Amino acid sequence: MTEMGHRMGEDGRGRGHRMDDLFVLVVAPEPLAATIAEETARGLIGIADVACAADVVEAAALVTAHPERVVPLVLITAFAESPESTDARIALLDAQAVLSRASVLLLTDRALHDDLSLSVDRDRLHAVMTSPWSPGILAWHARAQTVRWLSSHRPADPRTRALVAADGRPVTQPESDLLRLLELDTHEVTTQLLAGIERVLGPRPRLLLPAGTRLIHEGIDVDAVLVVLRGRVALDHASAAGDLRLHHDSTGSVVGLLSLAQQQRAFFTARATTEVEVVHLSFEQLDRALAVEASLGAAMAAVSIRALAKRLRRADQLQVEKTQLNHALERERRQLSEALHQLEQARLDLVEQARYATLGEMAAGIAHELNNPVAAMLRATTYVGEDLERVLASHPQGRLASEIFAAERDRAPRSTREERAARRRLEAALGDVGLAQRLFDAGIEDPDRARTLAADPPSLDLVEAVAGIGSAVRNLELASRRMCELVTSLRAYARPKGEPVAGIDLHAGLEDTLRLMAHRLRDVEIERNYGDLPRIRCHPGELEQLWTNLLVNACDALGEGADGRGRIALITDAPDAAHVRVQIRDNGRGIDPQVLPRVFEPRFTTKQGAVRYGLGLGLAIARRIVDAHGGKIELNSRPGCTRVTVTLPVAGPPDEEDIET
Amino acid sequence: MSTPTTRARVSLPRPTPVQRLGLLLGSIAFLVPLLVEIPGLAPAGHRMLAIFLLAILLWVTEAIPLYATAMLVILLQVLMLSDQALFGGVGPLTSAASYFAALANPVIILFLGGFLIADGAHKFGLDRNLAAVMLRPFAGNARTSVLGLMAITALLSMFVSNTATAATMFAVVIPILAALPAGPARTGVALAIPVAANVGGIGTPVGSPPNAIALGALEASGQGVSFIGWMLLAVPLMLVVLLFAWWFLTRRYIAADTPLTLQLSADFDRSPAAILFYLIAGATVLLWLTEPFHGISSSTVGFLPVVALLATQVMGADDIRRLQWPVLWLVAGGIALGAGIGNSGLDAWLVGLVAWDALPLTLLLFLLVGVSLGLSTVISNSATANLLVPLALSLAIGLPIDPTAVGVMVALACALAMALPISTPPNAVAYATGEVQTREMVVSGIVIGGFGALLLALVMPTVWGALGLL
Amino acid sequence: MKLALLILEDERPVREALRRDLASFARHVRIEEAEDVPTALEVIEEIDTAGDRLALVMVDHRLPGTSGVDFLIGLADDDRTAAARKVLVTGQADQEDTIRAINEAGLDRYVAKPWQADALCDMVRDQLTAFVVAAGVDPLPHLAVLDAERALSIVRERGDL
Repeated sequence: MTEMGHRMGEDGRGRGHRMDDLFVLVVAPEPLAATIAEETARGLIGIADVACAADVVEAAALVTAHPERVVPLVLITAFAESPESTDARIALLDAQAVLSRASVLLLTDRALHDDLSLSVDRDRLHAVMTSPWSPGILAWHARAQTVRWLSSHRPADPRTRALVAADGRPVTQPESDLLRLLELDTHEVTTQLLAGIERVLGPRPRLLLPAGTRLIHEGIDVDAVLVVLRGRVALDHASAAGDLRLHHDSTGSVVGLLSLAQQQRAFFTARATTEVEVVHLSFEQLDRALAVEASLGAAMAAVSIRALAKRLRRADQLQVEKTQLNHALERERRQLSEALHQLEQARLDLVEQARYATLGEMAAGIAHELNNPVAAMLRATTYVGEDLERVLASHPQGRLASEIFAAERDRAPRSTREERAARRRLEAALGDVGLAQRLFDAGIEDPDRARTLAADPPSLDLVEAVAGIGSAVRNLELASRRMCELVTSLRAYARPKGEPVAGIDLHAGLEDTLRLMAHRLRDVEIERNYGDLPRIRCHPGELEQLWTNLLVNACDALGEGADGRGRIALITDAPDAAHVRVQIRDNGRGIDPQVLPRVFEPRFTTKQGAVRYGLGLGLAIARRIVDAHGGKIELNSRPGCTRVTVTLPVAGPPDEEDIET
Repeated sequence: MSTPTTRARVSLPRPTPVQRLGLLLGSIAFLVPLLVEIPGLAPAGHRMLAIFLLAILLWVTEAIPLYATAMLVILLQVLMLSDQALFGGVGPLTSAASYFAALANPVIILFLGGFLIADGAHKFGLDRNLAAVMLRPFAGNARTSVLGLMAITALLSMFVSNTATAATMFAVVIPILAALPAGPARTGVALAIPVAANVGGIGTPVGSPPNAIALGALEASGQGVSFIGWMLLAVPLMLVVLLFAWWFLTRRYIAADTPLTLQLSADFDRSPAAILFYLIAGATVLLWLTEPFHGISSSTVGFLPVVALLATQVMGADDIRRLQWPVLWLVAGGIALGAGIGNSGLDAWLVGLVAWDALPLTLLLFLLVGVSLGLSTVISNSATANLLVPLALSLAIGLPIDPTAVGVMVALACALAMALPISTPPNAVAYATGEVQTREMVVSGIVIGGFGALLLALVMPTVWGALGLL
Repeated sequence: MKLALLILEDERPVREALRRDLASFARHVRIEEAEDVPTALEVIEEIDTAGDRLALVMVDHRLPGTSGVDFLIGLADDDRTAAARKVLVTGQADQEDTIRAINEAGLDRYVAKPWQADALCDMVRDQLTAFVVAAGVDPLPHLAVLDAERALSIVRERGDL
């Protein structure tokens, strides 16, 4: 079968000039088949032979046996006693490739068929005839179908050429005037029409009109038609969107027919687009011509049908185009809206980044400005201490004073509870609350020593003074150290972006962030579980922003409805040699499971006018930072435990891709 | 103040051991005369003695507040010694009303007027402005400034309570003290005010409660003293003691070159209310001073400003509420006690206890002044007067001396007691400033009080006699 | 009976600075410190047991655990401490908390960090005086730490008892 199909395909395309044997296949029971074959053969003399098969199975066997045969037409009978449905039988025929290309002519003796829907639907029914038939009709039909088949399947076949005119129309002419006229080309019909009219009305003058002349005016009653002999006319319709050109190629040769037919005002403006030669026919003239010369009616109808068919076809085409256009528009609209949405998100991201950038610049500026004074302060406190020691060295009680000063400066912090207890002991020992307080403030807790000093007011004054300086120096130093640390953290936070920096200690960054966030984390217990991490290559500032966002997120989760004391655990480890992993775990209320899949989507929430992180932009930015580092961020949550895991490559961000901020 | 105002918590003070002792001893002392028959003492006298002993112990130990003791005295007298007594059988008794009347004794009325004027003076800033004006002539060196300060304090104290005077003057002086170099100068100034306030208090009947108590007791025994009469008796002593005190304090504490400037700006209130007040107050003082000419008693005069100030609405209900009612009631209690002692015949029995005639008069007076001084050094002046004035007046019955002199001497002696911070409220204020050590107060109190007491016991009777005042 | 002043502040240097600035009060006023709320409650208990009166509480707004404002509100509900004057000493207090402190705890003063020593002393003197006046405490034993004029005006109304 495939071999045959192949060959036939070759025949069809490559060697069109070769004369294949054409066989018309008759599928009918004997003796009817012979009758049919005989009559059919008469119609097909010189074109094709006729072969008979009693039923579809035999037909299939026949074509299989003669693969070289080409079958343009199958005549198949469908009589009432047939056990199978006609559709099924035709389908069986179609199983043969050769037959599936053939036209099908059905001979039936039934008045009604309800078993042809499939064949009609598949375009496998080309003609239906009633049996018995008028003599000659079958031959004529068979021939017509075969010729049609040839002209569409084998245009290059010599037999086809013989049967079909150059313009593709069958050489044999239709018998009816209308169909015959419809076969003619437009110009010809027009000429015939005009000739007929002139026969009645006498010669009509030709009007020669230049391009741009309006032949019919939109909205004005039409009482004449114009027969266009030469040149082109466009039909325009005025609309809110300007003049629409509805027809140009599809105008047809008689202008004004449609309006005339409906006795309406013109729907179009007809305008000559080239120089045109027209014949003007008023309604009355046309009427008279048609009345006198009956054959004009067919010409008129043919002209009209052709023109209207063209216009209808164009209208249908326009409808199809319009639908396609609408689809395209809808698609573009969706794309636009999506693009707009993405743009808005990008803008929000940018706003947030700009805020960070501004903050970062400011922080860097402040850090820079604070650095020197803080450094000076820190040094100065040391100098004060050293110089005081020297001054005291020359004092008669210098030894005592130095000792008190140093003790007070280096005094370790104690809880107020312990301090109070110690003070109470001193009060009990001395029996004088005021004095005990003074001595205690001066760092004296030993009762014996306290008594000695109490008895020696000048020494007590000295001790109080140096103790005061001692604690002042200690507090100064503490304060300036804290400021130093803050400044350092700020500088790291605000480190300008650029190339990734290698050799960064992740823990230091975490600690910096914790320090900067100390004010928010005061009520939170921070649990550190730091593993041994290799130093990594990264953008330290970006990572600090990452930790900040994650911690803020954790804090917010703790803030509302955490049971008992909020706890945040920081766990770090290195899952393999090339990666480090940071887990931030909180015991907050967890994230709503419905929201969970979307936590990393940028969303913008505001509360009391301020940008809130929460599940807003914070995590989106976090993910962007992680992505830019070539890392991974995951979030798991259930009430009481939310865990964010960040995995970063030790090697840092991929080289070609810098963080785009 | 806070919105969620909780009800103010009333916490009862824990009684000190002394107070407990006072309550215990007072109860015992109260019961003894009621259970033990004392020969020579009338049955009513037994009851009065019980009340008196209880009063002594309660006032001395301050087991309950002084004014509460005073009210207790009146109540016990009504319950035990009046026609409404729970148990009769002690002979004819005076009406309960006569004891209650102590609360509206003319002397109380006099004080009421004095208090209202004093409060008005403060309300309209008159005290301060007068001080400012009167200090000006004394500007110069530190010592004359202190003299001025003492003079003004004393003058104010003659009409205003000693405490209020001291409070007013200290409010003015504390900032000045702070500007002085630490040391004796501060102590000197801080001592000058209470000394002057205490001493100034003796100047008029309304100057301090002991005066009123003495006056009430004297009036009860028909020996009334007029406002100006009291002043004539007391002011000379006051002036001498003040001068002595100034001399002593400046010599002891204030170097002549101390940079002390006491200059206050006077800013008299010129509102119609204030002017009305000035007029009423001025008229009252004038009427007090001119009693011999018009004969209207000082109590009656004292009631004038009460009516006038309230009627003109210069002062109102709030001002009445702010009056020092506890002081008035304390005085009333003293007056009632004195009356009870006289009525019950306890006075006669007390006099009969000792053969006073055998002792020289001077020694007696000296003892009297000494006991008053000593007792009021440790307890309230008013309480001392409440206890001692009736005793002294009883004593005077059998002595060749005018009872007026004895009553006045006790009252004045009470005012001279100022050796301890607890002796008088002005002393307490001075001590509270932290500028005065107890030691200094004791020294100056003993010297100045001792000087005054000697003068009072040894010289004044002669002076009064010589001037024909008695 | 002594007046007591409680400093509730978790940062030691700040506590020390406050104590030093208030040293002039220390002779007459019992100054106690606490770094957190539980300690503060202990101190209040101790003050009450000793028969002293809590006159003034100076609280930092930011404290570990509960906020200073909550502590103040707690004080306002305790009749041992309801009369105490309440001062917020703070570097940063948000408006909401401050409003709560005023409305619910009867906050009396608000001291911003950093403070001026003189102004702080004046404020403390003023508040102690207000306490003495409102609580009906005898001002004389505490005169040194009070506004003399206002304190003495209580004395002058007593008269010569």
